[in-house]
Order: sequence, then structure tokens, then C-alpha cells
Amino acid sequence: MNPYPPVVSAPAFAFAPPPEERALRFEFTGNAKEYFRIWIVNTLLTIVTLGVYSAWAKVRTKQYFYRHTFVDGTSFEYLADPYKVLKGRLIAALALGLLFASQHYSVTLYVVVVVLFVLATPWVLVKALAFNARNSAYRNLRFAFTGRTGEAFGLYLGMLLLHVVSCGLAYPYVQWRMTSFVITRHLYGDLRLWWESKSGAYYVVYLVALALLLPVYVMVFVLIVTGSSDDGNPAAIQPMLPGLATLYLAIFAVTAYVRSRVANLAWGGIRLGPHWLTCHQRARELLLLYVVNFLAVVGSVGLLIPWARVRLARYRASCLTLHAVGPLISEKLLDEEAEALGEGLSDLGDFDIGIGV
Amino acid sequence: MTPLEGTYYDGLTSRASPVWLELDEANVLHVVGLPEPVSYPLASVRISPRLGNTTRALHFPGGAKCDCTDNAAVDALLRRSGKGKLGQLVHQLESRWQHAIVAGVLLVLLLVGGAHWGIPFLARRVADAMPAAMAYDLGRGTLQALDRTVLQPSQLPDDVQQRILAQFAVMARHYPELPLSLHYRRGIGPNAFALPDGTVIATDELVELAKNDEEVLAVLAHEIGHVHNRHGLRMALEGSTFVLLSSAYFGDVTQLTTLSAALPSVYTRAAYSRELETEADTFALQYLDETHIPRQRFADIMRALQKELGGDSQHGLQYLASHPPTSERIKRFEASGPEK
Repeated sequence: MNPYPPVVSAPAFAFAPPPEERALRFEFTGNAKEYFRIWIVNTLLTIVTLGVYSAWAKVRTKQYFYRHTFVDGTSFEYLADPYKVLKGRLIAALALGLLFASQHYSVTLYVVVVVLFVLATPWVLVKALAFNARNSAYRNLRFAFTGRTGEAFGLYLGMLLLHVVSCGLAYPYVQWRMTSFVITRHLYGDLRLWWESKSGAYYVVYLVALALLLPVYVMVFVLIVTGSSDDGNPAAIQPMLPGLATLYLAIFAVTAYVRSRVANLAWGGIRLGPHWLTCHQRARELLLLYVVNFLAVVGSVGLLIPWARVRLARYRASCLTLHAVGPLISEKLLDEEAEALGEGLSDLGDFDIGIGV
Repeated sequence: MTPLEGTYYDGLTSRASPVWLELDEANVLHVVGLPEPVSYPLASVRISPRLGNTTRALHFPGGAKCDCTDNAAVDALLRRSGKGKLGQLVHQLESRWQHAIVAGVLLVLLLVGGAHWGIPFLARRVADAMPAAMAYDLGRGTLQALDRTVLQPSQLPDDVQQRILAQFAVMARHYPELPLSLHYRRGIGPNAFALPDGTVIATDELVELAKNDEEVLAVLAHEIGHVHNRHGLRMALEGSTFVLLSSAYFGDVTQLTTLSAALPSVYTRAAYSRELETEADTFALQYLDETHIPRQRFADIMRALQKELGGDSQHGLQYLASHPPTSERIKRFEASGPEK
């Protein structure tokens, strides 16, 4: 398999007009009222069926968000079979049960199980990404994830080691490397995704975040030291409250900053054949979104969760633009190619995996 | 039936073709508008279930599909094919506000009911089923931790300590299966509490407040009731089970909601403990009756505690000092005659 993206071929005739670039904005068209009814019924059914329906709820929810996400007039489609999702959840529940049960028998057994879990992580990651990609479609062409377990295993252990040895200083590089692996092993039809973001940009994001947090930490530390001079009297907490509130707000703000910049780097670096994506989330807008969502969800005892999710999806979509050069055409991967790429068809079901994108 | 507008994708490329779908009398679906028209028997077409007002997909055998936005027309096709009844039912449930409200009310009832009865019930079953060695292991080291923070060594005269210890030993002989031990401490006002591992702590102030030893014994009997019924374990199970269940059900919603999911368990803990107090009171009642100690002793010491602490106190150690003295509880002990 050619690891490089298909090269944009030169026009066949010298006088052919160069393909025109079109900026196609992503758009999320779901609305909170519609999603609320879906959400509450699915939550109830999930509880009444002791969690079994959660697989169907998951598929319906994902399909709802996919089908409401449009680019170039067409929406995405989620095609997973709920039974396979249920199977994946049962396996995950069994594995967790094993982990908890082993705790009670012996420390050695527990450590062995934990080590097995850590070693299995790359395999689970690859299976989950492949499941998700295979069940995501646009214009009746599916995505595919071609990462290999062996490759993921080496990368994962290497990055784990690097992370530990560098005392976390290599974290931006680790995140860049993992994101690069996840993105560049994806295909849409027969078009390979390519990624142009540089690891240096990740370092800039985290250095700025650190620079933003440092004075806040110093300030809170000073407040705590000066505030707790008297004995452990609970009343001594009172003068520290403004400091703590500032700290939490600062952490919220820095989280919003990092999330927005990392999303811009991750999505905005993607190339797909002659086409490319740009992403322009803004920290300020994302922070406002997070704070309002948080207050709404907590204040409504969870009833506004659908509203919060719809708002987030709408914002994320609105920041994403596909720059299409010429028509958006991809072709289905030939069956034998697909077979060579996939590692058997054993499904592990779906797991939500956050890679910080 | 009138032709249905759609967008056809052959599944080989991402190229879109505007088409019409026409169903004939033999239930064959014709795709019109392609360079070469194709048709499929309706029974072989997989129609995606309705979901809100989202675009529907008709998946044809061979991998082609057609997107249609006319939900009513697609539903009509689905009815003709005789399939998708379950999907329609789910959509019915999801699309009406009445259903959403009913679902919301049921959800609240289930959550509240589950937190109130379901989880304590499960916690009790699990706690009772747990082997003694494991059950009494919980809370080991708690006393040392408390000694380092809030508790101070007892200053009770030795003879008083020994006298009550001896009577406690007699009590403990009634329950050979419990690893009971009594310790004196001071520093938190008149109080007594039990740790899950069978450690019972009585404060100097409690002993001093009591007019006689029988009052102290009545309180200790109540504490043994907590140990016997494994209340510490049940509280811990109830707390963690609720968080576990909540996160299982709401975990994949957003990270923000984990906070609100944990809140109910905080609210309901107070109600759990009242229920457990009643159980421990029942245990104490039985012990007092068996050993012919007047029930009034418990009522007296509770009244004295209530007076001392100023009603339902806001003491800093309320979560361990499982004694919100309430008039209701006292009345139970003042009612004449043993309970049936």
C-alpha cells in the first residue's frame, strides 16, 4: 500500500482551466428541542433495560449528530449495527469486572491484570478506530482506518516511555505523534488523509498555557499560605474562596485555550487528496460556550444536557471549513485492497476514544 | 404512488445523482434519472429508521443507496414493505412532547426510587453476603487517622474506664461473631460512634454526661447495632454504587455532567443514615429488653445529648457521629412495653 497521498496530477491539457477552490463550511443543523425528546426517551429506555438499550441509544445518538452535520449539502451517516456495539460493551463490562474482582484475590493478580490492560490498550485503540471509521460514511463511501496493532503497539509503548523519561516534558510531542498516527492512517474511500501540522506548534500551545497558568498558581499559593496562618479552623476557608474561584475559572479558560488550539491544529492540518480542511475555533468563544453549558447543565440538574451538546456540535461544525479543489470525488477502495488493510473482520464494537481532538 | 425525490449514490464513487423513486404495483422500486435505470424489489431495500427529521437512507442490495428528505413518503414506503415497525414505534416515542414529559417524570421517579430503595436494598444484600473477614476489614486505620486529627486521649479516671469496659465485655459476649472493642477519646463533645471494623468509640464527655452506666450501655448497644448490621459497609457501598451507576448511565454524555451525577448521592446520604439509625435503635431496643435495662435509659441520654448539643446539632463531625438526636427516636424508647 502506498503510504503517500495520491499526488495531484497535472492537468492533462495545458489549456484546461485550473480547478477552482471552493470554501465549504461545515454546518450542524440539529436542534435542542428535537434532540431533547430523543435523548430523554433513550436515557429512560437505557435505564429500564438495565443498560442493554444503551447500544441502540448510542447508535441513534451518533446517527443523529452525523446526519445533522452537513458539508457541501450532504450529511454524514453512521451505520453501526447496535448488536455489535452491545457486544463491545459486554466485553468492556466483563474486562472491568475482571479488573475489580482481581483486586480482591491478590495484589499479584491485580498487577498482572493491570499490566495486561495497559498492553491491550493499543489493540483496543486500533479496533475502536477501525470500527468507527468503517461505520462512518459520506456520500455512500465509508471511511477506513488502516493502522496496524503492531505499529500502534510500538508507538504506544515508545510514547509511554518517552513521556515517563522526559517527566512529561515531551507531552506535546507525544500528543502530536499519536494524533498524526490516528489521522494519517485514515482513508475516505481510496483517498488517504494527510496531516501537515508540526509538533512545534503543539509546543507553542502548551508553553502559552503554562505561561497563562503560572501566575494564577502563584497567586493562589500566596493566598493559601497567607490565609491559613491560623489553626485548621474551617472559617479560615472563607478568605480563600475568591482565590479558589479564580483558580477554577483560570483552569476553565486554559482548558478552552488548549482545546481550541489543539482542535485547530488537528483538524486544520488535514489534507485529503487535493482538498484540505481549516479549523478556526477561538478560545474566548469556546470558554463562553463551556461556562454557559456548565452552568446550564448543573442548574437544570442535567435536563439541559441535550441543549449543551447541540450548542457544542454547532460551534465545532461552524469552525470547520473544507477547501475543495475541483469536485469532491473519491472512489471505493477495491475489495482486495480493503481486505489487505483490515485486520480480519473481528469487531470489538465501539469505544469512545479521546485523542484530544 | 407519486414519485419520490432523492439523491442516488452508487457506492463506487462519491458522485451524487438526483433521481426519482417510483414504486409499481408489484412492489418494485424503480430508480429513474440515472443513465441506465435500475430497479429493486422493495423487500430487498433496507430503509433506515426514522430519527427526528434527519435525512433517510434507502440502502439497495449491491451497495448503492438513495438519500431522501421526505420522511412521510419514506415512512409510507416502509409501511408498504411491512418492515420497520419497531423503528416506527421508537420514533413515535421520541417525537412527541407528551412522551418526553412522561419519560422525564419516569426517569426522575426511577432515579429517586432507585437511590432511595433500590441501591440501599442492593447494598444490604451485598454487605450481608460479604465474608466477615472482608466486611470488618473496612475502616481499619480510621481510628489512627482520627487520632492524628480531631481526637485526643481520654482523661477519664481509670476506675471509670475499667468499669464500663467490663460491662462492654459482657455485652460483646452476646455477639461473638463481631470483633468488638471499646475505646475512650475526647475532643468532639458528648458522642459515640462505631467504625465498620467493630471499633466503638465513646467520648469522655458522653460518659460524664450520663447519669449512670446503663445510659452509656444503651448508647453502646446502639453502636453495636451499627456494626452488627454492617452500616459502615452499606454506606460505602451505597455511595460508590450510586456513583458507579450514575457514571455508567451518564458517563458518556459529557465530562461536565459527572459532577451533577454525583450530587444526588450527597443529598440522599442524610436520608440513608436516618434509616440506618432506626435500624440501630431497634437493635438497641432488643438488647435493652433482653438484659432488662429500662428503655427509658436510652431516652434519657438522648434527651441529655439533645439538650447539650442544642437540637439537631451542626457539629463538625456529624458524618461519623451518627447521632442526630430527634424527638421521634426518643419517643420510641419512652413508649411502654417491648415492641412486637
